[in-house]
Amino acid sequence: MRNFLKKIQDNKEFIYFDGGMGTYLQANGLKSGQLPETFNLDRPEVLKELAMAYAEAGANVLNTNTFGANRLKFPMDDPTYPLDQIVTSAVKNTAAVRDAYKKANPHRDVFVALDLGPTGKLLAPMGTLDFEEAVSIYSEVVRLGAEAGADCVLIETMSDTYELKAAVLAAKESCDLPVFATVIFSENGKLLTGGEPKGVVALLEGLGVDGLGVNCGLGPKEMKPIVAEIAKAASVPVIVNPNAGLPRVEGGVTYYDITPKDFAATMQEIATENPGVIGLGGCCGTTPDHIKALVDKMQGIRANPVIPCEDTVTSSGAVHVVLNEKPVIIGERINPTGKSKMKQALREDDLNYILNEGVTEEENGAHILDVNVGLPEIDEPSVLKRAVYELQGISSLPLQIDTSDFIAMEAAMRIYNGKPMINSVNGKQEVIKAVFPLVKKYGGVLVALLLDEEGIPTTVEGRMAIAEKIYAAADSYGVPRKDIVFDALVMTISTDSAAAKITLDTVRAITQTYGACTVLGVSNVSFGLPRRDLINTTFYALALENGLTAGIINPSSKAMKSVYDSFLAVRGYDNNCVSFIGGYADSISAEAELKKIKESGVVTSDTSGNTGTSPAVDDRSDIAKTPLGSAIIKGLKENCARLSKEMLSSGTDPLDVINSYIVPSLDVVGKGFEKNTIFLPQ
Amino acid sequence: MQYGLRRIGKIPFDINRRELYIYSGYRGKNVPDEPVEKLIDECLAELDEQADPKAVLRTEAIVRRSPGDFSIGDFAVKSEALGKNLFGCHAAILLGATLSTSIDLLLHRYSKLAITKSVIMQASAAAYIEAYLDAIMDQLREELKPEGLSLCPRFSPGFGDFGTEYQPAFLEAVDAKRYLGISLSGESQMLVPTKSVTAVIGIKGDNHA
Repeated sequence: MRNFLKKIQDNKEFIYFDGGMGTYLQANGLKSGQLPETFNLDRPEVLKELAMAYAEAGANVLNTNTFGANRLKFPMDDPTYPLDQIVTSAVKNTAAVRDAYKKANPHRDVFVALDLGPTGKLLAPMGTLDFEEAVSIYSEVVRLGAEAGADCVLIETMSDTYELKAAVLAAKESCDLPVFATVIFSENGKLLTGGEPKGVVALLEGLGVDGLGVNCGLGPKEMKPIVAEIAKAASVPVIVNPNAGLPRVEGGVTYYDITPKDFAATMQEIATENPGVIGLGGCCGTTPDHIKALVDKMQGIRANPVIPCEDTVTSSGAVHVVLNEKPVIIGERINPTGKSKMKQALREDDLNYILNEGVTEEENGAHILDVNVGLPEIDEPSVLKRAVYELQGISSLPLQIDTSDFIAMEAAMRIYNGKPMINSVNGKQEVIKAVFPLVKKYGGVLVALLLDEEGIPTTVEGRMAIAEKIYAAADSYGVPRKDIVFDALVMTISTDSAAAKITLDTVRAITQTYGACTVLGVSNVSFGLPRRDLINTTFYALALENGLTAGIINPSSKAMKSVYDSFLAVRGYDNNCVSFIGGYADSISAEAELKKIKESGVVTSDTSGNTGTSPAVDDRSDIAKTPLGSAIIKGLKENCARLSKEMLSSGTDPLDVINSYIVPSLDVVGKGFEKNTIFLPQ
Repeated sequence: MQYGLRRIGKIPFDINRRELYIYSGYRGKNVPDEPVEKLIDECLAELDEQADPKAVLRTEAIVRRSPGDFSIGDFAVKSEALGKNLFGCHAAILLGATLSTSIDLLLHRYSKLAITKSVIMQASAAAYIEAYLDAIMDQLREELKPEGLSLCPRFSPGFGDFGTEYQPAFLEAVDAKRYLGISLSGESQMLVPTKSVTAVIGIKGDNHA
């Protein structure tokens, strides 16, 4: 149905959707408790009449009577109303009207939309319906509808992002037709499951819908602020299908009070005041008269084109985070690297340990949770998928799926409720080929590491060149550039004194050149050094000042959190310092804390596990007194080579040099490193 | 009084703490100690922040075929117990209400990670929705008083012979899926979100009683 897609993508002309159906069916004999879809087989003439009335009123899109048609309500083996007959007849009835109308009016565009509503069940873990089961339920209907001749799929009245994702995924996987999705918001501007317009838009655009919007629940007046938010957040055409006001039930009959004239007037305001509102129609209580009034009212008005939104947004079912608005914290704790307890928990399949970490990070101020369960001895696809599933049952924060196992990545992305962050892609062709198709299909904000087959460039220019390469890949896969955030790569300064400078300069260059978002695993900078907290906090502050968007840090570290909070206050992100005052009015300074500690005689550890006082360097044994041993322990590379050669040329047995000098010296170094008495530069 | 459908969102209400103690298993002289009181405060604060209480009320005339066989609007019921509860009422309100899925997330979280808190959260959330419903009824009573009308106690599917098999039709009658996000879980016919209530409230004319 290229025509339709082209028409809606041109965003010059309005596309008119049809209106309500329920009231009409009731007036024509649908009884309370009777499923409306039974009319497809029992009273097709009623449905055809209504569809023809909508076509004549000017509607371009005629919805099939399949809102509740799924195997939960109409099993395939139902003797009277099997699902395949219900869906097929619905599409054929509507297609017959389309064809008849077009025969008489060949210049008019009329399309048949396969209509999909909610399943009526809440998805697990809150409800009982399994996500893949929901996908399968929708896929079945989409396949039947597409085979029967539908021109597009319209998913509507969805109030749960998880079910919405299942439906869109099913539609995209089961047919090649354009897919549109509209959701139902409450008067407070939220979905019943908590999602807000911007988060819903992020999810739907990530999944690749051709148009999105809002329907039902509210009249056009109440919908206005919600449409404004959607239109601002969207980069695809927006569809607005309100009710004819709020429902009023009397004597078992539902009434909607807005007249066609008033309906059309408010719809005209909505269409002219917002960018990209291309699809206009109605929902409950609207009639062919409403649609006719609407079409007449819009005569001679051109549609406002879509203004693509450039925000970088990640979302969960209920929460969305706009990365480019102000710096955010990604919690780093769900990661087994260097954490023996988490490793043990993963090996023992103890996901509660992970859940606890997640909740603690959320309570301590993380905005997004990184989830990494990579251990060689576990089944990562299965564990990561379960970790993501369980985490989204107990935390409302967006998640960053962090894995280098592409099977695990897809498994987790698929069942994720929202538009996740994905960590990561890099400049290697093999990785680009594996990751970009997943982001194209499921949507996501993709972390791109600035390294490639050649390794990590040691210059800013080298890293920027990889960023260019990754942008080019994104363009070729059709992934929007706004969904790429760059990891400028933090290397420890203990092995390369220039490492942090290159990283900071790269962050600044990315920010200034592309205006793109950046990510850093901040605490890597101090690996191998004492008092890592001192280096970490300084580096973090500098990175933020250079434009860092999202530090992957431990939000439970008071030191790091205080840098973040102070930065927001200093840089004007914290209006009137309200958050800062709220968070720190009752706290005491580091000096005062130290004094208290001294008085109590307790030496505390900070959260990075480093003791506050450095113990004395231990006795380095006799080996340290030998010239070669001393050179090794002190890390004097050239001396080591020279002294070894001297010993060999003076006739010492080579094995003896290794076993009596080198091995014992390295042993001292290893032990010292473990005890934090020897550090990497040494 | 006005027949028809109306929606109510968040309104101010006070929690009945004694009721909350009872839900938590404290009875008579057995009262919570300080740590539990603190947990209760925490839970109520979280509920205040997270809950999105919503209700749909549909007021309809009662048409009786016999005391235990009647319709409220087009919602047909055969129940002696509900019939008795509605004795003397000419109309009734079908009420659906929920605290929303965000509360299920909290309940799920604590049942996994903090079992004591999960017990207190269950009790607090139960007291919270009851208090919300009481506040709605207070508001309705105020509205009906000048007309000489009063309300009967709430009567929910599952009480006496008014079985939970009425839930699907009840939810349909208040369009609960669309306006409240309430659906039924699997075979058990339990409402989800779990902190949701459906109830019939009779309206009685004082002069008719």
